Amino acid sequence: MTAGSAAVADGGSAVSVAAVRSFIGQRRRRSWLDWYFGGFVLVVAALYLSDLLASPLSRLSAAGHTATQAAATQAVAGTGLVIGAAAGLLMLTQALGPLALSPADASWLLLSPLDRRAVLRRAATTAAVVAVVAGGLLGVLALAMAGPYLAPESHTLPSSWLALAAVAGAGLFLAAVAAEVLAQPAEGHRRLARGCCALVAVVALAEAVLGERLTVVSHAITSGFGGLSTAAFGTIAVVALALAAVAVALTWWLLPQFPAGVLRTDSARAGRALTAAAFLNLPLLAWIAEDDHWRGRLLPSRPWPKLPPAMALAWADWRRLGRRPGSLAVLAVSTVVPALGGAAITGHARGYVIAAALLAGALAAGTQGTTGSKRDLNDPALRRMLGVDAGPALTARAVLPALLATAWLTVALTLLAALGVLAGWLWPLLGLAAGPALAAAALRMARTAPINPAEPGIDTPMGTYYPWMITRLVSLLFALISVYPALRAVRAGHVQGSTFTSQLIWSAVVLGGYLMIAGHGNLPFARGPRYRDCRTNCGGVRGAVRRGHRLDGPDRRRDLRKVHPAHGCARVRLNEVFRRETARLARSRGLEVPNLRAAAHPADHLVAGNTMLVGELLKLLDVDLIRQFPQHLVSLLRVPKPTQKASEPLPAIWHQYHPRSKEPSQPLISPTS
Amino acid sequence: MAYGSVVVLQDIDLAVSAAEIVAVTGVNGAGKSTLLTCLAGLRRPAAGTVSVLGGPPRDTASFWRDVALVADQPTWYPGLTTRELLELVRMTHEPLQGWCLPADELIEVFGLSARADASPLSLSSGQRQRLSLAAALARPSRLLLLDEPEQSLDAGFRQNLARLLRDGYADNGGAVVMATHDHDFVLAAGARQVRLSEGRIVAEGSMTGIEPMTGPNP
Repeated sequence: MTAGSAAVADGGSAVSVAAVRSFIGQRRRRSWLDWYFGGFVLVVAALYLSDLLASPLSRLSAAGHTATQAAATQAVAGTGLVIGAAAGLLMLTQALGPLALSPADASWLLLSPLDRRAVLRRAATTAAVVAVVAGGLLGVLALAMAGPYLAPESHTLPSSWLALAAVAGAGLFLAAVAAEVLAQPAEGHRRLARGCCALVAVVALAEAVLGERLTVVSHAITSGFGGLSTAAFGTIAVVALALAAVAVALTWWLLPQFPAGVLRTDSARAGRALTAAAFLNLPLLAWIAEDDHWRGRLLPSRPWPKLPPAMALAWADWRRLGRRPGSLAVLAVSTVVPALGGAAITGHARGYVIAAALLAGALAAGTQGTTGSKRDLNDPALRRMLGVDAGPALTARAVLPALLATAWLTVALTLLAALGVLAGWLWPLLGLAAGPALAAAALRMARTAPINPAEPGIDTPMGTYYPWMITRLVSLLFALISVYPALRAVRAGHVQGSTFTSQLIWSAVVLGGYLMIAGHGNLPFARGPRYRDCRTNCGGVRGAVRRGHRLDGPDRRRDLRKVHPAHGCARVRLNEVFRRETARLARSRGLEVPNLRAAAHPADHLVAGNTMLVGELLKLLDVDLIRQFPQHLVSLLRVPKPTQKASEPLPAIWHQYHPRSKEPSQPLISPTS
Repeated sequence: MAYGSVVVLQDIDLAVSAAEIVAVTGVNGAGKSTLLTCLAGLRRPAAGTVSVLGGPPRDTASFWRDVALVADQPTWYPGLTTRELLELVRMTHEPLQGWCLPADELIEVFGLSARADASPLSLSSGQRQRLSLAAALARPSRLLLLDEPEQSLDAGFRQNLARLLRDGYADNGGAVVMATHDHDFVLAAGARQVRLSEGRIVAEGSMTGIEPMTGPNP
C-alpha cells in the first residue's frame, strides 16, 4: 500500500524537549497543597518503611554470635527472603513498564518529531533512580540477614561492607531493571524475563525453607560464604557496577528506537495502575491485572455446565481460575512463606509473625476467588439478567474463596507442623476449620466500595476520619476476629481439641451470619423481603382480585395496602401479579382490559423478563473482551420480544399480552422463581 | 495482520494517492482500526508489505512529521488550556512547513471559542473530540489517519469537518484515510469507500458506484 511518493529528508523538530517541558511546566498550576500532599505521602512511607526495616537492620549492629548452625540457618533463610523480594519487585516493575511515560506525554509527545531519546530521558532516569535506591536497600538488607554469620566475632559489621553491599545491590538491581527495559519491546523476551524472576523467587524461597530445616543444605550454602572478606565484597560490587554500566549503555543506545506502540500501551496501563494504587482502588487494580492478562488471548470456549442459576453465576470465577494455573502455582508456593518468615526476620519463630503471615496469605488466597463479587460491585448487570437474588449469588460465590482459603491455610499449617515450627498434628484440622471464616472476610473486602477522595470525613476530637478508612479497618478487624481462636493458638504455639471446636463453631457463625446479613440486599430496584418471599405475600393480591376489590384507578395502591398490609412486599412482583391478574380476570369476564395509565418501570420488566436493557447487554459483551464470560452464554440468555431501551418504555398495555409461552427459545438459565 | 493465531486482516491490496480521501468502512471487528495502526507503524503485519510515503512505516521523527494519527481519546495535560494545547502541538512540530491552521482559527472553526481558555478536562466528550481533530490540523502533515472521527460529533459539525478535510486538507495535497461508520460523512467528504468484512476488502469505490469485490459476502 502506498500513500504519496516523496520522502521527507530531515524530519527532526527544531524545538528541544526541554523547551516543550518548560512550556508545559510553566502552565501547570500546582498549589501548595499538591506539594504538601506529595511530601506528606513520602514522609509517611519513609516512616512506615523504617519501622518495618528497623528490626532486620538492627542485626547490622547486633552482638556477636559464634558461627553456630542457628546463625547459618538465619542467614540462609533471611537472604532467601531478600532475594525473593528482589525478584518480586522486578516482576512488579515489569508490570508497570518498566519504561513508561505519563499518559499525557504518551498522547502528545511520543508520536511527534521530537527526539525520542530526549522524550524518554525523564522516564528512564526515574526508573534508574528508583532501581538504585531499591537495590541499595536490598543489598543492605541481605547483608543484615547474613551479617551475624559472616562476622561472628565482630559486634558490628564493617562500614565498608555496608557501603559495598549497597553498591552491589544497587548495581545488580539496576542491571536487572535495564535488562527488563531491553526486553520490553518484545513480548517473548518479556515472558522470558518474567519467568526468570519467578524462577529466582521460587529457588530462593525453596533454598530458605530447606536450609532452615535441613542443616545439610544450610551448611552447604553457607560454607562457601563463611570466609568472605572486604576484598570479596569489593569484587562483587565491581562486577555489579560493570553489569549495570553495560546494561545502562545498551538501554541508552536503544532509546531512540524504542517502539512507540509498546510505549503507548505500557504507559496507559502504568498510568491506570498508579492512579488505582494512589486511591487504593483495589477492584480497579485487579481489573487492570485481569485485562492485561486476558487481552489478546484466544481461549477455547467450553460448554457451561448445567448448574442452578446462582452457581452458574459463580462458575465464572472457577473457570477463570482454572484458566490461570500460574495463579494456583503461586498460591501453592506461597504456603511456605509463614514457615520462612519467623526464623528469617527475628531469629526464631515468633508466634505473632507466623500468625500474621497465615492471616495475610489465607486472605490473599481467598480473594483469588472473589473476582465476580468485585465486578458486581460496579456492574451487577449479569446477576440481574440471570434473575439471581443477591443472597443466593453471594452464597454461591462464597464457595470458591472458602475452598481456596481453607486449602491454603491447611497446607501452610501442615508445612509448619512438618517443619517442626509448630508442634502437634492438629494444626491441619485447624486450617480446615478456620478457612471458611476467612472467605467471609475476603468477600467483604471484595465488596468494599472504592475509595472516593471527595467523600467528606467525620470530624472528631481526635481528628478527621474518612469513611473509607473506617471501612477498610473494619474489614481487617473482621478478618482478625473471624479466625481469632486459630490465631491465638498459633501465637501460643500449641493447639487443643477445644480450640478446633471453638474455631469450627466460630467459622460457621461468622460465615453464616455474613451471608445472611450481606445477602439480604435485593436487586437494586426492589426493596423489602426477598423476591422469593413475595410469591407467598402476593397470594393476597390474587385473593383480593377475586373478591372484586378495586385495583385500578388512582386509589388502587391504597386499596392494595388495605388488602395486603405487608408494605415490605416487593413492588416488582406485586405489579407483575397485579397486571396479570387484572388482565386475566378481565378477559375471563368478557371485559375490556383496563388501559393502565402508568407505564411500568423498566426494572419491573427486567425482572418479569419482558425486556433487556440494551446498554447493559452491550457493556456485558464488552466484558467478554477479556474472555471471562463466553459469548454463547450471553447469546442464550432470553431476549424476548418486545425489547426496549430503558429510556423508552413501551405502552403498558402491550405488556399485558406478553405471553411467556411464546418465547423464541428456552433460556439456558431461568431466573429464580 | 494477526494477533497471535487470530488473523485480523488478509489480502489487503489498497493504494491511496496524495490529495485523496479514503473511508474504510465495515462492521465492528472488521479490522478498520487495525488497518490504521498498521499504516501508522504501531503494529507490524505478519506477512506482506506496508508502504507509507515511499517506504515502510518508520517510528522516526521524519515519519511522525508527515503522519498524524487521531485514534484513542488522548490524555490531557492538567494545566493547559484548549488554546495552549494547540500551541503545544504546533510547537512540537516546528518548523511548520506545509498546510495547517493557526490555533485561533482552529478554535473558531471547531466551535471551541467559548472554551478556548478552559481546560480540556472540563470539555464535553464532543468538544474533546473536536479538540483532538483540531490538534491534528494544527500541524502540517501529508497523511492523516482518523479512527472514527465522527464519534461524539453532532450531525452539523460532521458536515463541516467533512468539508474541511475535503476543501482544506486534501486540496492542499494531504491524503486522508479514515475508519468510519457514518455514510453521510463519507459522502460529504467525497471519499472513496473501501468496505472491509472479516479482514478482507469486499467492496471499493465511490458512494454512488461502489463495486463489490469477489470474495466472501460482507
